[in-house]
Amino acid sequence: MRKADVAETLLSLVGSAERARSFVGDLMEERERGRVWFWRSVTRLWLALLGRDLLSAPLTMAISCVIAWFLYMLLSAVLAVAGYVVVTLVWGLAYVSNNHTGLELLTDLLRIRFNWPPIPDAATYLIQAVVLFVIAPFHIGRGSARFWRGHEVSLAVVMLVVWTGMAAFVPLVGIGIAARPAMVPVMVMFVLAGALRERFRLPAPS
Amino acid sequence: MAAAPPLGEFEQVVLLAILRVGDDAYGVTIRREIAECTEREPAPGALYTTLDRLEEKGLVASKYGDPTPERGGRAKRYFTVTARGVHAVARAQRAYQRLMKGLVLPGGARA
Repeated sequence: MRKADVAETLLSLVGSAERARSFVGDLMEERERGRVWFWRSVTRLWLALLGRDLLSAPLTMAISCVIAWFLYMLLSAVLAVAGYVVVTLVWGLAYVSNNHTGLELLTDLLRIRFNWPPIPDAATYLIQAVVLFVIAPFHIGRGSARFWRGHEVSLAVVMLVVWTGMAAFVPLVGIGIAARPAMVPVMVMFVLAGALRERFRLPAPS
Repeated sequence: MAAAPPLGEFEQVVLLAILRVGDDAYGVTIRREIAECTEREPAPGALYTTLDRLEEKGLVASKYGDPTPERGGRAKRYFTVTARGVHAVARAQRAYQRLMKGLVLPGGARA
């Protein structure tokens, strides 16, 4: 990826894609000023646009982040339950297939008699952590790219503040795990990753 | 026409630069004009956010030109000052002139 494309992508996260293209075109016209000038200009422009974007609708963004938090809790719960059921079945079938004859396995399944031992705590904890801190935030990020196109970074900054507060007062309690404020930066990082993934997947608006 | 909003100093500088450049007013030419006339180069961030703000206030209008090869196929965003913008900058300049008129500066120099 060329430096102009990287700059354009960065700037399009704090404004419209068309404007980002025009900004980078202007900077490219003065490329004889060198690489340092180019990146210093991009950085200063990016920060200025971010600041302006943050001030444009801070209350709406904060309310969206609170709504996103409750959606996140709901999504995490659904994913955690679904994940737990799937892993329990996989774990159990693996256990039964290693400890029973084929006939016993068949009669066990027909009677729906799941008599396998519980999943180890470490595995449960790992599933919960991956769902809570990676998968659910990633999907929230994909949604944010659809509804807040061109404002993804501003939303992530507001999210960092609002979600830290939400985690302190309304923590999501999974099975032996909760979204602590210290984990919020990790979650927001995956929100941004989801937003970026969606940005590159969606066609640019005409 | 609705009353023109008050302008900050840099907003006036940008509006005057667009008026001076004319039909070819886009990011690069506006910045060059400001640097030439004021002997200070505006940061790209300050210039573009001011242009966006002026457009939101209805003082300038912008349109995209055709993509050009020297810009890596990226279009220029051309700016023009609207009638409201001309009114606002003229009013602000008249206010400065009234303030300066007949003023004796420290050291005895006349404005």
